[in-house]
Amino acid sequence: MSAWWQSWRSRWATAVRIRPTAEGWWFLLLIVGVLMASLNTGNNLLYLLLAMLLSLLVLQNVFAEWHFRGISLERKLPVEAFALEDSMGAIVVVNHRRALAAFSLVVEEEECRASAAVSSVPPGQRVEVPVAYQFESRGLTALRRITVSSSFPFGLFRRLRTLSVESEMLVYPQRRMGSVLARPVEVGDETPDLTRQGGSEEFLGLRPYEVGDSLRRIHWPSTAKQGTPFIVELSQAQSEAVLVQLHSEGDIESHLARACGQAVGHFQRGHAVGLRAPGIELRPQRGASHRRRLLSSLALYGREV
Amino acid sequence: MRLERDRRRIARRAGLSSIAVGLSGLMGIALCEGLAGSGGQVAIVAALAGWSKREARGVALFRVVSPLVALGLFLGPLLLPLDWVSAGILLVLYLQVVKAWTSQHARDYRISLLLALLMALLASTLTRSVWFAPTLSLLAMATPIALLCLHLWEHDELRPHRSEALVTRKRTAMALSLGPVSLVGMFVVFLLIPRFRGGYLANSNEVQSLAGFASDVKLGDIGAIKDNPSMVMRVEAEYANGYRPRGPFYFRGMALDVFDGRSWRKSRTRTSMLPADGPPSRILSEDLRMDILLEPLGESVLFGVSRIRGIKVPEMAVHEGMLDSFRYFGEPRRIPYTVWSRESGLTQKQLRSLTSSLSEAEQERYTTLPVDLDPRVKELAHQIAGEESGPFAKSLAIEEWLKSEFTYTLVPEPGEGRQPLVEFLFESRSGHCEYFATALAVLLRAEGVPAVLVSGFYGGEWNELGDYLVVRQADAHAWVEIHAGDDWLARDATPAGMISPPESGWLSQVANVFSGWWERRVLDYDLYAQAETVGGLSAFLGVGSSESSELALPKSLAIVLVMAAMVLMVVTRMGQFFLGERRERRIKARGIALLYGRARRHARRRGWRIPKALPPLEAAQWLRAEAGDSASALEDLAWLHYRSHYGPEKESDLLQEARESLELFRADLVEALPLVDAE
Repeated sequence: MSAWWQSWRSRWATAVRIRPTAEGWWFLLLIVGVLMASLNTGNNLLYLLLAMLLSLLVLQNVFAEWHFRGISLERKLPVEAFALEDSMGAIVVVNHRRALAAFSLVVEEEECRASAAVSSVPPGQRVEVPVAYQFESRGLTALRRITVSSSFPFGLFRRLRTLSVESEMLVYPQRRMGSVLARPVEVGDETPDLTRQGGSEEFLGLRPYEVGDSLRRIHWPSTAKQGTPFIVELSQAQSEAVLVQLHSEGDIESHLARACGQAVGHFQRGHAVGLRAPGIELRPQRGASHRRRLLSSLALYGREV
Repeated sequence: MRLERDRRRIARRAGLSSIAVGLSGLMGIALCEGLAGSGGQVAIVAALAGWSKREARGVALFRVVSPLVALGLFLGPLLLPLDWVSAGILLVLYLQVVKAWTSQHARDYRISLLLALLMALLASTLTRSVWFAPTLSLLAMATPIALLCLHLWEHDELRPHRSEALVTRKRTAMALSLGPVSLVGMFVVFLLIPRFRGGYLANSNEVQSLAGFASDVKLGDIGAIKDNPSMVMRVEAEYANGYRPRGPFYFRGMALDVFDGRSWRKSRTRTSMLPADGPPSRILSEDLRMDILLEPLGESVLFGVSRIRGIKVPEMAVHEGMLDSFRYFGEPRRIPYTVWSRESGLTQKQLRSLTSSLSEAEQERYTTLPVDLDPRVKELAHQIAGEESGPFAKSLAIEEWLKSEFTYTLVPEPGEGRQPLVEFLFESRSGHCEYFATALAVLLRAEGVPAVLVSGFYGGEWNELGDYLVVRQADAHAWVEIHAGDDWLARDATPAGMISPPESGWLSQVANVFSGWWERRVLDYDLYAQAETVGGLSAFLGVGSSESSELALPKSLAIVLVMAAMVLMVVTRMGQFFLGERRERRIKARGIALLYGRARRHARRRGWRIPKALPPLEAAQWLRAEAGDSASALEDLAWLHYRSHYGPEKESDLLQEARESLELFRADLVEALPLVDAE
């Protein structure tokens, strides 16, 4: 019985739902009005008008049903995401039908703020739709369902189907970019000298400007040429290491936001960044894997995994 | 740039189709009578002027004018002879004109579409014109196209991700095919919607009766209706052997037996009721059968050619009154019925020998003259027919005298207030059919021959296209029936010069045929016609013909549903045809080799000149060696090509994999492989 109930519930959850749009409600109201008028008067011209409206209703449903079949979704999550910030990912819409393109689709994530519209997906093809993901809070976020909807062909009724597409995303804490630099902390011999500018740095290349980058490092000739700010990337001296300190008193989420902002800011400058928090001790290091480990530690701080 | 052009195309098509919908709504109102119709005609001109502008105009002006118009239409019914319905219609028309001038966005056009539907609703209750058919057809065809385009336009305003142009020829063809599909759907649904009777307002909007036919005849009234070309009856006459006579026929309506010197009326007599079920039992195979569609007249009288042997109105009992006068129940309305008639078949010699066989009371009733009748009339009758013997001979003598001595006119000279008949006989000596018929009847009565005046229609116009007779108001006529033997004989004293309406041209005949179809198949389609349609369909398919009606109806409905499903399947296949099924079939027919060929062509277009001599796998390996691992999908495709040709697997099982490999190869070529300069 329980298995049957579960199966029924999962079917119900993924069943196609139909919701009238604002125009659809007017349309239904008009049908009811004409129906009442034709039944009460027996006027065949009203019956003819009613027949026209009903045939539109039938056409709408036949085409919508026809058009809504054979669509599957895949999710391409952002490489990294910070709470309350937009991170670009994608939803891949696959049209498995051999004929008939899918039109006017709107895809929405159920568990986070992320939605996008796609005008058409040709038959047998996949279209990758860029989506801006925004998560409410840090930590491991389970993404289970994506809703796909369309009011094709007449815009009178919206068909929705919730598809089960399961993924997990580790969301880093919100970045508080106001406090870019960590307080100098002595870590063995690697005491950071944050006041140093230039000297032992070597030119590595150019990269687009990101929030928190020092304006001094903007490479103006490239910026003027490309139209968007570019930053000079320099190799850092071995001695430039910082230790981000996380305090456990008071509002922990606020502390995490500040720590995250500091860590990201330092990583952007090419500093070796370490983390000290109650129960966590990460030595200052560079590199993508360390950065991921540090930010993951912040993301999961105080959370049971 | 291409996508921007595509967006503009969608918006333009949405605008055009919405204009078609809006125009159909306005045309519907323009077909109505009175102020609404005139307003509709003006609104069409104003809206067309607005729609012809490329950009919205007059927004500021309408902002100022609109409150004034609203106030005027509110005060109009209070201060002026303007009813609320007309005020409401004028308001809707005004709003449509405003939208025609100011529409900019999809939402504006949607409102315009809603207004058009509202106008169609109003027009449905206010007109029954046959021109409403093309108007409604335009509405039915343009509405789905407009809704589709508006939806795409509105969705486009969300700035969705676009990977291709939406407007293609194939899709345009599909969108246009929605119109005819919707039209067919409308008629199918119309035929299938169950009809109920006795609604709260049932019959309240019945059409206005045609004037000109009343239960009494007052001398001098007929002139006006003789100028009226409105159709009264559509008659399909046929003998059992298939012969279809074209007339002219005397369609008798009422026989009037009491004449007071100025007007004829019917004496009160008992009536009987004919049963509704089945044709009358008195009918013989040689009788003439007439299927008549009768327009509503002033009286609920049924017409038929003398001598009427039976009459049947669908699902309705009929009153049979004195002298073969028939009436249906209820208020005058458009009514289809069947009447069977039989000719007397007597020769003139036999007719001359007949005498009246009426009882004494009946003889007295049908020979009664007005009390104040001028004594000269009796003398005149004796003078003309005194020497003749028998009703028929006396009638012939008087008829000849009237036809030779009197002239026909629709506008008799006004008399000095005395009896119209006396003025006609002794002074003006000119008049129309009522004068001639009255004169004949009175002179015959004066000679002791039982005679009554019959009012009805004579003649009609044969419609070659429809194979039926059209009888109009202008065919109204009056004649006399005399009693001879056991029956009443029709006698007509009106001279042959009576005015006939001009014959209609072929265009008018086509319009008449269409009008007849519209009236029978649409306006008069009821529960009975619905059952008949389903029954006819069953008979056509050879189902249920020998079964009882209780069994036949569900079976017929099942057939209709199966047919509807078949139509749906056909539509589905058509849609697949439009949307690329044909291409899929071609791929299936040639299989993976075709996909491989496409991949090689694609690579060539990107600049990679694979040597033509290389077989598939070697070609793929060559490309991989030249371009790197990004071209490995072509190798997969080549292997699939070999497997399908030489392996045990079916090609259809590998087709999907091959298709995916092709897509992957295309994507890799675009994203990874550099575009080689093709010299």
